[in-house]
Amino acid sequence: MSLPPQHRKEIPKSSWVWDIASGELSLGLTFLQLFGKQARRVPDELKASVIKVFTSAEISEDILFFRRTKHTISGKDYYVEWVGEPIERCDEGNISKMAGFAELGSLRDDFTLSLNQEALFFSRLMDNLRESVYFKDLEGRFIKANKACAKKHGLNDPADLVGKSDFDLFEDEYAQLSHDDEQEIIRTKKPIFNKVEKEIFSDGQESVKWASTSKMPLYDDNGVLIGTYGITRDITAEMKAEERLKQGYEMLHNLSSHVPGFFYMYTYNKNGTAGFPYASDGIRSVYELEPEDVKHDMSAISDRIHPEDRQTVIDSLKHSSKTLEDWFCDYRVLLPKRGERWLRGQASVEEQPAGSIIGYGYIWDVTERRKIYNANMQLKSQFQAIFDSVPNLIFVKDFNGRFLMANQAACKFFGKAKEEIIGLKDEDLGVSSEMAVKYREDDLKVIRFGEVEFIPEMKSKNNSGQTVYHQTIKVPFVQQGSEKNASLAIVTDITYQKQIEKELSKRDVLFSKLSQQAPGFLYLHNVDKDGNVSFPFVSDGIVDVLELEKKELNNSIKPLMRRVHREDLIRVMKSIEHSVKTQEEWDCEYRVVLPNKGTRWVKGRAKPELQEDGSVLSSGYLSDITLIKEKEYELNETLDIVGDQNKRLLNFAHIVSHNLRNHAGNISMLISLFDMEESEEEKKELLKYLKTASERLNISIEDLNEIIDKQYKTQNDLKELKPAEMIEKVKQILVSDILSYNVKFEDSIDEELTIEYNPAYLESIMLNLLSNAIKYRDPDRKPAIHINLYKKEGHVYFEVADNGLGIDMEKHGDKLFGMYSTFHGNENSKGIGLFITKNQIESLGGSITVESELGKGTTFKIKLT
Amino acid sequence: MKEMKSICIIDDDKVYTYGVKKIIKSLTPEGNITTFENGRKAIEGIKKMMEQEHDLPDLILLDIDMPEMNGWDFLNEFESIRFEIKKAVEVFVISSRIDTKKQELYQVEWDEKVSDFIKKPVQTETLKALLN
Repeated sequence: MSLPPQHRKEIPKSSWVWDIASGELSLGLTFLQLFGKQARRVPDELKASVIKVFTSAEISEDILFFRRTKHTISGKDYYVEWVGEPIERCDEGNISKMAGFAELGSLRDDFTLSLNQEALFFSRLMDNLRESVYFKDLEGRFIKANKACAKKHGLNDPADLVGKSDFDLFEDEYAQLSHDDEQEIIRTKKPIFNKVEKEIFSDGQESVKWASTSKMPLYDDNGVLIGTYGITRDITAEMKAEERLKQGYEMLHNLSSHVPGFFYMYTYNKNGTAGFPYASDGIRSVYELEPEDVKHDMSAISDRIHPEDRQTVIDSLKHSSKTLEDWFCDYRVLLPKRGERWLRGQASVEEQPAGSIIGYGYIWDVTERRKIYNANMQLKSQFQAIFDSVPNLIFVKDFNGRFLMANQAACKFFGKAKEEIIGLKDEDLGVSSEMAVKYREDDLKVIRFGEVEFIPEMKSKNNSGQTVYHQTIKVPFVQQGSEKNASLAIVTDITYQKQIEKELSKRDVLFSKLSQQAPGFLYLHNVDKDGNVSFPFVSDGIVDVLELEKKELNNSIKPLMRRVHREDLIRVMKSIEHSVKTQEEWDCEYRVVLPNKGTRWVKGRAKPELQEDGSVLSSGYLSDITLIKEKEYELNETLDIVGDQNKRLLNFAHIVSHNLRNHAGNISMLISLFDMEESEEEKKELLKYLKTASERLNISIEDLNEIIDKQYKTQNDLKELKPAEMIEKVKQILVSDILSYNVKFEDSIDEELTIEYNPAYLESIMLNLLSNAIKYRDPDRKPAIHINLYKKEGHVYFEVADNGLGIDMEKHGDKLFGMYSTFHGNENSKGIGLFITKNQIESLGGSITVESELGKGTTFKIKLT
Repeated sequence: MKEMKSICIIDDDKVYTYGVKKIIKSLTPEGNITTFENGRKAIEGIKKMMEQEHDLPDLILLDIDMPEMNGWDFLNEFESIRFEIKKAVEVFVISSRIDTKKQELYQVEWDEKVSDFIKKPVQTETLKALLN
C-alpha cells in the first residue's frame, strides 16, 4: 500500500517562533490559513493551550520536537502538528528559543486509527527498523510493537506481544527495573534517554544482551497521558567491540548520543522523476535538509553527497531498482554545518503496478562508527605492511588447515602469490605428507588447547630443495565470526644461524680445548677509528689468568689495565698503543696483581690487523708465565751457582795446569840456583823469592781444597726420583713454546725408572736440552722431538733427538761443550748451557755425547748414572 | 858462549823472571837482559829502543797469560813493527798453558812468527840451548 504523494501537498503550513524565557509564542501570518476560511482571528486561549502542550515534555536537541494540539474553531475540531528545532540558546547553554512549522494534522482521535494510510506507513517504517519500538499502557502492557521487538522476544507477529508485560518476557529483576523506569516516566512525565542496560530474558535464551533504551511518556491526541513508548537498540555487538577495542565507551557514546537517523519513503518514477515523499525529521541532522526540500526533488540530497561517492550511490540505487534487491550503501556527504560525514543507507524496494519503484528505508550517520572502522582498517593495513616487511614467515591457518592469510615472506617461501595461497592446505603447497601431518598436529594443539606452541628447530626443504632450518611459534588466533580458533604461525629461518652456530661450536670446541691446555686465554680486541674499544671474543681462560669475568670487560681496556702491576703499567700501555698504531705484533711480559693469586707474571702476544673500516682487530693470547719465570729465576740462580762452580773449575784447571806448575817450577828453579850460588847476599835474595813462591803454592792448595769440598757437597745432595716425572715437569714449563711452535713429541719413556740424582741438576739438564731442541728448530719443518729414557747394562740413559737445524760437528764439535776464549759470564747462553750441562752430568759421574748433522737434527745422549 | 846476546823477557811472574834472569846471566855474563811485566809494556819498551837506536833484542821469551796484554796480542802488535827491525828476532813462547794438541795448532798458525813453544817450568838446559 502506498501513500499518494499528493495527499499532503495541499496542506498549508505556517512558521512559528517560541521564546521560552518570556513564554511568548509568535505565529506566522499564514497560521489562520490552516483553518481555511473558518477562522478570522487566532483565538485568545489558543497560544496558552499550545504553550501548555509544548512544555508537557522535555525539550531536547536530540529528540525530535513534535507536538500535537487540538483546537475547536467555529465548532469544528482541528489537530495542529508542531515541528520545531532550537534556534537560540541563553548564556548557560539552555535552549531559549524554538522555531518551526505548524501544519494541520489528520483528524484523528487516538492511535487506534491504524487503518489510516499514514499509520500503516508508519507501522511499515517501524517494521523496517532494527531497533525495537514499542508502546505500552499505564500498566506497562504492550499496546503495539514493531517486528524487531517481536523478533527479539522470539515472536513472529508483533500482535502477539499486545497485552504482555516485561514480566512475561524478561527475568524478574530486569523486568522490575524496566517497569520502575516506566512508572517513573508516568509519574514525572520525564523521558529517559539512551539508558544502557543488560537485558536478561526469562526463557534463558542467550542470557545477556546489551541494550540502549530511550523511553518517553505517551499522550493521546488530547494530551492525556496514556502510557509510555520506547526505542531499544541492541548494542551487544558494540559492547563486545568495546571490550575488545577498549574504545567502546567512546564509540557507544558517539553512537547513542546521535540522532539515529531518519526514515524515508523513496519513489522513482518511470518518467525519471524521483523524490522522498516522506522523510522523518531526522533528515535535518543527517542531511541538514528539510523534509520539504527533498519531497519531489533528489537534487538537494544529491548535492550533499560527496562528489567521489555520488556515482556509487546512484549506481547502487539503480541496481537496487532494477533487481529489487535491498539497497545498502555507505557513502559520504558534505554538510554545510558538520562537514564531511559518513552515512549508511538501507532500504527495501518494491515495484508498483504502474512501474514506478518505491523504497522504504532508513539512513543514519555512521561517521563515528566509521572512524573506529577506519582506525581498525588502518591498523590492519599497517599490520599487513609490517607483516610483509619482516623476513619471518607469518601465516594463519584455519581449523581445517586452510591458509587464511600469509605474508610476503611466506608466499615467497611457498612460491605462490598472496591470492593463490588463500584456501590452500600444506599438502597443496608442496609440503611432504609426512611434514604436513606433523604441522597439522601442531596446529591442532594450538587450536584445541589455545596454547602457544614453540618449535625451536625444524629441518625441512624449501621449494628449491635446499635444507633449511626453521624456528616456529604458533599462537591461537581468534577468527572473527567463527567460534573456532585459527592458528597463527611465525616462522623464522634459522638456517644461517645454524651454520654459524655449527662453525662457532666447532671453533669453541677448538678454543676450549686449546684454552684448557694452555695456561691462558685467547681474545679478539678491536679498536675502531674513533678509538672505541670492544672485545668480540674472549675465551674462558680469562677467569683463571686475570680473575676477570668476560662481561667485566664491557668494551673497555680499563678492567684489564687495572690488573697490571703499577711498575709495568706505562710500559704495557705504551706497547699496546704502539702495536695498534703500527700494526706490529705485540709481545709483552709483565706483572699483574690479582685479588686472589696476588702478583703473577703474564705474557701477551697479539697480531693486529687493519680492517676495511679502519679499525684495528688484534687476535691475541695472554698466558700466565709465572711458573716459567720462576724457573727462569731458578735457572739463573743455578747458572750463578754453576757459573760460580765453573769459575772455580776454571780456577781449578788454572791452578793445576798453571799456578801449581808455575810455583813448583819456580821453586825448583830457585833451589837449583840456590845450590849454585856462592854469594851469601844472593842466597838471601833467593830465599826471599823461595819464600814468596812457597806461600803462593800454599794459597793455591788452599783454594783447591775449598773447590773440592764444595764439589763434594753438591754431589751429596742426591734424592731418589723418577726421571719420567721430571720430563713432564719440564714440558709443563715449556708448554707455551710447545703450543706456539706446535712441537710434536714421540717419546719412549720408562715411566717407572728411578735414579739417585740431584733434582736441580736433572731439571737443569733436561730443561736445557729440551729448550735447545725447540730453540734451534728448523723453520721449514714441523718440530718433532724424541725423548728416550731407558736402562741398559746398569746405566740410565736419557736421549733427546730433534729434527732441528743440526750442528756442523767438524767445525764446532770440540767447542760445543767448551768455554770459548771470549767466555764472559752469561753472554752466550748456548755455550754456557751445554758447558753447565756437561759439568753437571760429569760431576755426578755421567757423560754426554752428541751426534748431529747439519740440516737433519741433533741427538744428545746422556748417561745419567 | 861469549857471543854478545840481547835478551828480552816478557812475563808477569817476578819469581820466574828473577830466576831466569839469574840463569841467563850465569850462562852469558855479557848478555844484555831486559824484562817487561806484560805485552803492552814490552811493545812500548821495544818502540822506545828503536827510536833511541838501542840494541834491540835478539831473543824474546814470551809468556801467554799476562794482565793488560797477553802473549798472543803482543805477537800481533809486534808483527806490525817487526819489519822495521833490521835484524832477525827470535820469539819463544814459554807458558804453562800449552798442551800438546794446542801447540800443534799454534805452530801452524804462528809458524813464521814463533820459533818454538816451551812449556813451563823451563829447564836450565833448554835456556842454554836457546842462547846458542
